[in-house]
Amino acid sequence: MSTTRVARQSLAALLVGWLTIGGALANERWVILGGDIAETIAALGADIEVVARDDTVLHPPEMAALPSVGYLRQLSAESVLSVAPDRVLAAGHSGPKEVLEQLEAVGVTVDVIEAPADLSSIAEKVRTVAQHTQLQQEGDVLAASLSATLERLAALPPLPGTRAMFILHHSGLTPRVAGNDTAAHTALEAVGIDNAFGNMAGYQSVAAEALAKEAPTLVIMSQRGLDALGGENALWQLPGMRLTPAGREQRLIVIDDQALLGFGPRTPDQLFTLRQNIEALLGTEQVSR
Amino acid sequence: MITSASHDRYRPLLPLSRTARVLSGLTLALLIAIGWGSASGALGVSPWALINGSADELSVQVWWQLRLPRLLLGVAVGAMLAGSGAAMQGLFRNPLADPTLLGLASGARLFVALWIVLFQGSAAGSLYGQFAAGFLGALSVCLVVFGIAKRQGGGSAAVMSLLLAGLAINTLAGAGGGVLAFIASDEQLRQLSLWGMGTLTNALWRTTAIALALIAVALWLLIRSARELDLLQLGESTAHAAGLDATRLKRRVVVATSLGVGLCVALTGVIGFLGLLVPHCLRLWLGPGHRLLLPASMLGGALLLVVADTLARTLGAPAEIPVGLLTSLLGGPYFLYLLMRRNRAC
Repeated sequence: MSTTRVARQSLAALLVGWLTIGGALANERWVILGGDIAETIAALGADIEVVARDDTVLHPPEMAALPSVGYLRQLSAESVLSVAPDRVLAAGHSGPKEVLEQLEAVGVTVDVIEAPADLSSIAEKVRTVAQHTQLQQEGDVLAASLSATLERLAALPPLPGTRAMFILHHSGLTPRVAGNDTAAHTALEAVGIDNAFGNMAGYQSVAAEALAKEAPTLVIMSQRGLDALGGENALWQLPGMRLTPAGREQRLIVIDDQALLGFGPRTPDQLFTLRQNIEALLGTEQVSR
Repeated sequence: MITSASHDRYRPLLPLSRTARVLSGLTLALLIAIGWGSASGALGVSPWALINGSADELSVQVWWQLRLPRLLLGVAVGAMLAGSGAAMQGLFRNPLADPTLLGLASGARLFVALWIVLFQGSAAGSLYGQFAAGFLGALSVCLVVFGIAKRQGGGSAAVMSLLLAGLAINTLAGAGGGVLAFIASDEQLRQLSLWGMGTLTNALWRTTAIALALIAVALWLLIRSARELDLLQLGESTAHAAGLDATRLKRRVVVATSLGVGLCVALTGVIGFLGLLVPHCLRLWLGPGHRLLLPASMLGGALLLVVADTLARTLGAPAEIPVGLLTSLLGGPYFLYLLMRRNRAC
């Protein structure tokens, strides 16, 4: 058997394989569950037909414009099936698990991407999504660049004496402050500032006196949270806020919570932006004194 | 002609006893409801296409993997909740007794929540553990409520203290649930919130099969108690004179009810008011005899839950309304109406 013949045969086999796989992916209807997964698909530029998403997918706009099959954590099998999907790519906290099991029983391919909610898992998540969309190379490149950004961030000197509080607010609820074991806490640590409420676990409502005691020097909130609260003035009117350095100086940083806290491909850049904003805020402060 | 017509009105259409007619009527209605439920949903699945084999693969799979286990679970849970409501009302000789009102369901719910928070992730945190937790929760509440009822004897004082005990247990369980939600991890909180309002959405074949088997045992224990429950209505001393072993009867009804309700809560959460509403309506229609009331309540409960769940799946499709919300919206006003009517009678 000549070498050329082997080469020609393997080339043909490769071509056939590529065509079938490429064709299969192109013909499949995907449902994406989880904002971070959707952002990763977009960042990879995956050429797949996404027909629906869940409520947590808010970015990119083209994906957010697709019909929603409900809230990620309270899915129903028939809602997902109503868009006739072939494949479901789901974030690890999608559920209930029974619903994913039901989807598989009906013959839908369900891939769950388990990733712990921390920064180090972002690159791994990108590689896994890339594998499912057959873009391993693009995935490796993106993962490497994200890791590099995070490493540069980690190399920055900490900002001593800066104590931030992150306020989570949804309309209708009392504002809650992020303690440890939250995405916001991880983000604060990553940019080199202290979480003023780092000794408390989870998101909690805190008393006015606790605000005075922990004395945060700045407040971090998302635009959505600020809108739900009724604007910046309403924030400074919260009980106890005037007793904090942040409240007295009205130091507020507004962030894109989806990008910063979603632990998707946009997160490393957002962390950098947050760090720059904090430096700018504190820097002007020092100049004016 | 006129005489014979008015005479005919009192003659049954079919030569069947009243019991047989009522039960077969309810069974027929249940079968129709199941047919309707199996044809409706976010996805259109034509029952005719299923029967003549022209349905596509997806429709068949959806029907077999999603609809059928869910419908069967609805039948079992509905029958269990309404049947245990009827049995408890007979046992307490009190038309307001019901698994949710007396706190049985919230006791089961609290224990399941405890189970999730303490053991989730471990081997013990399996589905069977969840069943056992639900059973123990319902059983312990049952025993507390029963102790109070026993101490108070009969009469209106007992009715009042039963309702107050149920209120206290519901409040306590609510507070306990709050404490658990406070200390639970994010993952556990998510799982806890699934018990917020009852839903049949998690029906899988493997859970439904277990539920069907255990609930069948519980229902059989209740049906077997029908004659004795009738005797008990005469008052405990008269019933004793007639040869009734009241302690054994109580034990059997309490165990069957706790087993069934605990299981239902572990699988579907709290589906409110089914146990109160269905036996009440049927007692007004059929009279108080348990030999008819118990099986009729089971069929009626199954019928109501299958209908309510089908509405829950279709009214807001593709989203699902928690079915517990629908039954409570139906049951709440009816309960208020009952209370108002009772006051007028006093």
